[in-house]
Amino acid sequence: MRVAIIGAGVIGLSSALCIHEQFHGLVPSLELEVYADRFTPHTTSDGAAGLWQPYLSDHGNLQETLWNKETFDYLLRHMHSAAAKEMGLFLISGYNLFTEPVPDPSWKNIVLGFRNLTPKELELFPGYSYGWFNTALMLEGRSYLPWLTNRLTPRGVKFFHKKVESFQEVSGDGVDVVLNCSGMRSGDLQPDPQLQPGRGQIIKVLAPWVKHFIVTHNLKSGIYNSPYIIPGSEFTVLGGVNQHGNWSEENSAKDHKSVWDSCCQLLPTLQKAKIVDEWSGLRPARPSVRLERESIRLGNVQAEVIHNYGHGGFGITIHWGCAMAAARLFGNILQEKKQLATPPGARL
Amino acid sequence: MASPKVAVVGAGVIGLSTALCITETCPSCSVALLSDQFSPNTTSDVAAGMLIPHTYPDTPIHRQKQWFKETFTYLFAISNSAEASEAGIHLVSGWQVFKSTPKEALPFWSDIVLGFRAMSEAELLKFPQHQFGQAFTTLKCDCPPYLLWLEKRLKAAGAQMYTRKVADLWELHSEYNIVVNCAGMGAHQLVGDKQLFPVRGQVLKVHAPWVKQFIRDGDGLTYIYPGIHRVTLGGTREKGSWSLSPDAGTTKDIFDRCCSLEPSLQGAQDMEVKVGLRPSRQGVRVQREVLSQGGVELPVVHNYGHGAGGFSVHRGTAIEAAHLVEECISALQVSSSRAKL
Repeated sequence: MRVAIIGAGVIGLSSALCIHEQFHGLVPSLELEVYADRFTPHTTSDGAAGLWQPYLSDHGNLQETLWNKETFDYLLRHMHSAAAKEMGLFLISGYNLFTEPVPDPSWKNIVLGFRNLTPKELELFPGYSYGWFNTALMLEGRSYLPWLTNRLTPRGVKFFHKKVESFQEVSGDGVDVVLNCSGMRSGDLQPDPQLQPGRGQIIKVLAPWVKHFIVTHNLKSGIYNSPYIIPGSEFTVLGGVNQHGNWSEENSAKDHKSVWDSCCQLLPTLQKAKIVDEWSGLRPARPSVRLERESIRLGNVQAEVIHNYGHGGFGITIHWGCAMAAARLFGNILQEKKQLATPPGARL
Repeated sequence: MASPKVAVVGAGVIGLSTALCITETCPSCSVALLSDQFSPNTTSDVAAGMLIPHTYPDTPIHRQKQWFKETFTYLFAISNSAEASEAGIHLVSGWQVFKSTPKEALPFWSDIVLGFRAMSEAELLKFPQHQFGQAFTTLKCDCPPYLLWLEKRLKAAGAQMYTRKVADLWELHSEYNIVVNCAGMGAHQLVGDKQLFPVRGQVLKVHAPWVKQFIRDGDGLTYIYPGIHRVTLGGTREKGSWSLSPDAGTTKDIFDRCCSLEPSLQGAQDMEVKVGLRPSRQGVRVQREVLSQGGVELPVVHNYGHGAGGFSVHRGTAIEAAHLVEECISALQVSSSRAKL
């Protein structure tokens, strides 16, 4: 049984790992192949700061909230292991700031120690009158993707550096299931007008004295169109750009100035920070994550496709919950193809 | 007295901050700082510089609280300014965890640090050997940056600094009108204070930049304090030990204890081992004294004996010591005008 995974960002690699972990014992002939034109450190997941934090509201999409929770709990369990450092995983506390009171987020009981900010804490952030403090996790793509790759390679998973132009290209030639984890470029494989870029631009600086994340919110401008500061293990990410519909991956001088000025205003000590890099990336934004099966007729072959894309600015936050959901869909396919006598987990 | 000449002995955090306070409260004073050691070779350089107060049995709590509050307020303002990184002052959040419920649920400083609250059950899961915990946000003074920043401010205020070992405070009587004794552990020799004793602390400073939160065991013996470039792992409290040499067995013990609180420290790199002697006393000595020999008087202000809590109260005791210096100046002016009559 050959499975092709298109995409080697956090979604593609974690889906591949989840499927292999669950099914390789049950399906001895299971062969996974990852196809991508970009691998770490050049994926969208590598550019993201890596803060686990969903959007402010799940808009009633409880499924996504559950996937977020599954991811957080999964990562938290790994915190006690010595692997945490290699995974790029660590605990971090910080601030979410608002100019007016807002309802508590869907994730308030998922993170640790969620509470409102005290008046004294708000003195640190002139212009903001309300906010939250909580402890969350950082999962840095630049470490996590290599860690996933290092788990996949000894399992015999093969990697192919190529741009896949169509499902046909991989589904012919004996591939039974295709996992579409192509993120921003899913539209190239199958048009999806709901999938739009949420262009971000970030500045990476050296500011090791910053120990907290600070995410500000402007309810009118929308999520991540307001300054944010996220300290990583090597450098601190300054951001605050989320341009819907902008496909440019080039750094813009105007956005640089806007991010720099607004972050320095938020945290004056950043003026002394040394800039080491700048990056633009496209959040694969969609009203909801597309995580579903599709049977596609390609020539005289019926191909099973599992879509897992459209994670916007919360891919790292939701990845493991989605990987497990994709693995469940894979299990269903196996059952239908009579590759499995009983569903996984039902055996005693 | 037009321009009182004040000598401050000691260039750790107490000496530097006291000298700076004196330049602020007494602009007409000529301030000289004398010390045999400067940063990075002071006891303060070994300390993590965390603002978590030590409780002094013989100092009234309201006074300790006042000192802490003044120090916290002062550093909070710096941490919020463009100078924060140069001064080495930054906010840090974390947990203090207890194996058994502490006697005091609310320490005297709980309303001065930020966001103080009990840890939730979910948070305590990270510490299976601990039953209770407190979460809060406080400030950290990284040394050497903080001491160098104080030195820079002192120079800008016109103070002079001299490398000089003072063997006896009296030797300064001919050059200075007032002497301020901030000699820390050196006060044992300098003024023969038998109530002052060393409490040896060994720490490890490691490179582990993914550690963003502090963890402190409520017994005060084991702690992980992330600084700007290094994380301080501690520690020991060896009462009466004068040894400044690192002990290899102690290093392993500290590392093991810290790894059990934070397993990811196994991956820490570039370990430096340091030792400092906390200048400990039942109460901090912030006090005036007049030394006299052969009819000549030398006013002295003492500001030493901060033990494990120097950083936490440094600005508050510096302010108090500077007030005492003002009192000394007033007293000198009274006696000099009497002499004129």
